[in-house]
Amino acid sequence: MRLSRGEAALAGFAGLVSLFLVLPSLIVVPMSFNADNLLRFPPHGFSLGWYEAYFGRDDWRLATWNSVTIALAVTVLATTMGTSAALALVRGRIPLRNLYIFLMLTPMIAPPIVSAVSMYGVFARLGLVGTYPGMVLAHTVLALPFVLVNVVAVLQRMDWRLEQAARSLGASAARAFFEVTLPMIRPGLVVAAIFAFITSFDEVVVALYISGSSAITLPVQMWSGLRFEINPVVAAVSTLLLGLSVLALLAIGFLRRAGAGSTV
Amino acid sequence: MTDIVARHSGGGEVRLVGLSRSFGTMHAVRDVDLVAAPGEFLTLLGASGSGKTTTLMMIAGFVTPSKGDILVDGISIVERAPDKRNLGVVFQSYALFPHMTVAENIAFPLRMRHCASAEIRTRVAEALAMVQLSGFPGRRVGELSGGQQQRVALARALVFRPPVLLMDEPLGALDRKLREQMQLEIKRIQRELGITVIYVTHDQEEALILSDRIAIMHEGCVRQVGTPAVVYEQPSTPYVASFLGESNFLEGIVEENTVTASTLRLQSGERIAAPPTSLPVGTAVQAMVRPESITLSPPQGNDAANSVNGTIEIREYLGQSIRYFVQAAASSVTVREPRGGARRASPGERVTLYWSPQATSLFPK
Repeated sequence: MRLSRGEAALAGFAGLVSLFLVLPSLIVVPMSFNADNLLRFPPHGFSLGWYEAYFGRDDWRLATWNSVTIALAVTVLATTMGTSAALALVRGRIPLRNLYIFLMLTPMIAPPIVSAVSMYGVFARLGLVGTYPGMVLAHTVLALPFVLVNVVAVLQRMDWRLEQAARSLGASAARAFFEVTLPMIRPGLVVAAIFAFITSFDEVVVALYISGSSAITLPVQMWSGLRFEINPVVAAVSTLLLGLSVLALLAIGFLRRAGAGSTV
Repeated sequence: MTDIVARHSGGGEVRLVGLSRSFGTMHAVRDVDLVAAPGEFLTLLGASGSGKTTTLMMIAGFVTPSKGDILVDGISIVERAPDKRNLGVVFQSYALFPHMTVAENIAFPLRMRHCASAEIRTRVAEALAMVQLSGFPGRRVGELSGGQQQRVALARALVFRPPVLLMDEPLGALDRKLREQMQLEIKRIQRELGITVIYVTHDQEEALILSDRIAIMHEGCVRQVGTPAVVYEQPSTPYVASFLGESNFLEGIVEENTVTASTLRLQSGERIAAPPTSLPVGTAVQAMVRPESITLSPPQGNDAANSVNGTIEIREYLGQSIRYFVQAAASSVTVREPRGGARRASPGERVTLYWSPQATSLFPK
């Protein structure tokens, strides 16, 4: 493929923009291998000690465990609720449909600090601050719009004649859904679930308010690590999270392609 | 294959009674009364928006009628969910399940009916043989050509031996050659199984080839029901006449009417003979003549019976036939002559047009 001069310039510019976007995140990777106990770049020496520290200390392990369990619960809740809502909004004849969609998308648009403050107000009164259910609930609210957007997109590409065909062949509404619709939209649902997981797993602002002292998640632990100890453990954790995000992105890309192939 | 034929229960009778459906203020289907006899091939023919697909979808159970009833073998099914109607449906887009193999697609309705797996195997094999796809059970649907997908859809809709098969423009996506081949195939299978078919199409040629009877729909109403010959040769309204095939309309007045024939005086002054009519003398009428009923000849003066003089404007070569547009009787008259006809007239030539009085249909204006 030969590029014209304009196209080459455009490609070069796009490359620069990508670097600008990615480099600040990548800088934590060398920092995490620092041999001394300062969070700095360029690193001095090479050591895996900060990874050891991360895996060895109880507060980091507990925060990781909290994050994983909360994110998994959020994934299940948000995917189920978001999928049901998307089905109703795409297929049902619902009055004020656009208003509902708008309302369900607001957590995605509202500044996180606004969500955090308002949830804190309500959750404090209900005794949900500093609890698992409180964290799961808060993050489900934030993850729901991502699930909704993804599943609505998949459902809009779905050929509903397939479900009608299943009905005409003797399948009840439930069987037609589970045997025909669900397998067709599964790649889209998995993408939505990954989004839900990442939304909860990465979230810090709302978590700072809601997690209290007994439901501390990994980002919250990192935040306090950064404020109180400033050592490269944070960089080590960041590097691991970066790896996880890259894996999630690859999975999403792969599933999107698979999904596009099967719905044609 | 003989097994599936022998075991098939034959066709059911479908009766639509005052079937209507409106969407808001739009009447998609209005008061349709129609009966498909057991084993009959009935086609709903109409332009898009005529209500034919809505009617079919009401029978299938995907559109709820605003009023009216649907009976299969005398039993009302209008309240039943689509999966409780036991009707085969073939969709325009085939609607095969892409995540299943050919055999799994065809087995689907049998699984829904809790058939034993051994029985499913034999019946899927029979169905595949019936549509001549025996070598394909393990294929993915996406690997099949359009024609093959159509056969799978047909096998899937027939494997559970429904008394009635509903087909919604099933050949619309196929090219001409394949379409003609599938028409033969559908007709053969329908005859073998004795199944009742209700078929929706906008393709008049397809309707004429396949159907025992055709119901012509327009603006949500059935305008005429009859055998292909009847709807083509004795259209009941100008719409039916113009929708089915080509037609010429000449305007005039009934001047004389006897038991054997009537005479019309055309607006342009010529007199032509027509079959006897129930319309009183003096009625303004449209006389319809099919282009292939008209013969061209060299100019003969005005005394020849049932003839009109004119001038050829355009000649089109269509392969099997030649089509002329002739300026005559104050309008443009279309004439179709077989390619091997006696002579070829050229644009600008004066000609006389003849047709048999019996080939004329009269409609009040």
